[in-house]
Amino acid sequence: MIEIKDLTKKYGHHTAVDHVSFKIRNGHIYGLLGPNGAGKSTTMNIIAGCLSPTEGTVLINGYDVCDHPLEAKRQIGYLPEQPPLFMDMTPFEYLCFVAEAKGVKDDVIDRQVKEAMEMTDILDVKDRLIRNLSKGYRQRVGIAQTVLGNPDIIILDEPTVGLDPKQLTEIRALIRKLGEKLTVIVSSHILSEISELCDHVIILSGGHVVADDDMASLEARVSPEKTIRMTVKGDGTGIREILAGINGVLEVEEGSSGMEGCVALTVRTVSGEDLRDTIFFAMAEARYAVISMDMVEQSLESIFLSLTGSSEAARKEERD
Amino acid sequence: MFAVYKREFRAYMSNVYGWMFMAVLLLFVGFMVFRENLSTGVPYLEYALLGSKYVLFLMIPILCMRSMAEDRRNKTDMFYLSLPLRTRSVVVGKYLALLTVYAIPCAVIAVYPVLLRVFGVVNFAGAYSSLLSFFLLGAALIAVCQFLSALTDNLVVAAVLGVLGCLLLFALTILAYILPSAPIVSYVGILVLAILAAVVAYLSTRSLMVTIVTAAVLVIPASLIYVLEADVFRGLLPAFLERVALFAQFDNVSTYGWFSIPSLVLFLSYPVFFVFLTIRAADRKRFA
Repeated sequence: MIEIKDLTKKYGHHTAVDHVSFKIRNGHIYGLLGPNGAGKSTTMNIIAGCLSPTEGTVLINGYDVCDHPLEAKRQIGYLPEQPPLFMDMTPFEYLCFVAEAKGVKDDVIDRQVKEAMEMTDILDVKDRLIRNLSKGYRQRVGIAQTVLGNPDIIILDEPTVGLDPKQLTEIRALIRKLGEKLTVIVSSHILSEISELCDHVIILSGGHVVADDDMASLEARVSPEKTIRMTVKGDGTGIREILAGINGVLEVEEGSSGMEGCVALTVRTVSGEDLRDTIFFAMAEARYAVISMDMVEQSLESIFLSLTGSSEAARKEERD
Repeated sequence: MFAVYKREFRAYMSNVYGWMFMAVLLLFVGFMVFRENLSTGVPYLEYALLGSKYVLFLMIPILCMRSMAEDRRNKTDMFYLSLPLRTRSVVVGKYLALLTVYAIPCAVIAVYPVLLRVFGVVNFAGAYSSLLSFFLLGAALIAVCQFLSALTDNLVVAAVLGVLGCLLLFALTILAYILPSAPIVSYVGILVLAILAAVVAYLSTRSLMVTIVTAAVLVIPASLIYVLEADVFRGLLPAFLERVALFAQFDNVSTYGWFSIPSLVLFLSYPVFFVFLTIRAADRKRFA
């Protein structure tokens, strides 16, 4: 588990991270989101021990990254945005070097390196020089080094940047595979990637944490109401009357469905309840055929924009 | 540390830098041995080594330029910081790898006195003292060039800084002999040294406080003493430069054929001091 308390990092007069606090619990894939300059990489670098915080503490499995740096670093595997590879080595040599540098015992280095290569599917290129590998393979080698030394937590800074669509899919699958066994923290600019990979999202903006929740709770925070879109065969007035009589329905809007004899409806309901069952049976009882019905999910993009936008506005107001 | 040492040593052996360094050094020393010993029939290796020191001005900066600068350029310096290794282990591992590359041609040169027995009686103590001081001179220059390599991410700049650093150290020997002994000369010299020390302190720490303290530690006592008793400074700077000038010590050992304790201390002080500065410079990024 990682526990971050009041973390602050200043570069001269610029505050990159400002009293940030959050916890990373074991067994989840965490997404670190934020616009450019939000402090994501700085936060990751501090957790990884590459940067020293100006204030605050970072505890990794109980070890303070400043007071017990070696023990703290043994708990994590870190892949910076640019994979830290030595071009004059082969993946096998490189991984053996990293394993040795991480203090893996000599008699288990070979086994651990082989397992890491199997997991990341680089066995077929293990004896080729890293400089001759494609970007996708280099990224795999970078990810392979993170799992050496059996860390509990893997930190990946923008792991899919610059990859082609095929490599992107493969690396995402690999991250999912890592997430089955380990705690993974991923930072990315691609919101769909975060929403696809992560079950918990931390959003940073201007060096502050503006959200730290699972996807469902984030949706509820941004829009406390739920929206159902449906197409029903029948007259609009009768359908609206039935919907208005259902407990929990706040508002019904009617639109054109483009189908003869059908109406399209947007139903806003109170939060916390899924009224689709109730609506369906009410329609069936009144002999209105429900052609389609969907709960409208909020996209991560809208959540992100809403949270970072409101945090920026709040800070601007504070400054004024 | 051993993992870094092995990686770095393998890197030098698997690219052109290590082999080129060893080949050029052996070629140059071989040429000097031919000129000073073989062609004249003189069995003193010291004479050949005295002339061979000049090749170090160019070859050591080229060997050392990638030591720290390449990691900064490729961002692998941040990677080292994220590994469960202390910065001193990384820097010392890299330094020892450079030292090993330099030790290989020195080991080959160690065979020459045995071969020179063909020409007469060889003073083995003198020859091997000279070779040891040649090795220690190189070890000191490697530490200086490694530190200068930690100040930049450009390999060419690192090499140029290294050459300038070696020339500056060589210039200390010349200055020791040409500077007048007037007190004002020594006082100004100490002020210049204070500025240089402050610049080095700033480059390695980027801390204004450390820079000011470094300069103040030299300037304030020197100024007080100069005001109270200026004659203390008479001949001080030339004597000091002669003591700290690496090349002067090497020349002494090679000329007179014996090692003094102060020479040994001086030769060992340079690597210790500059490796320490390199560790500070490498750690600086963490505290940026």
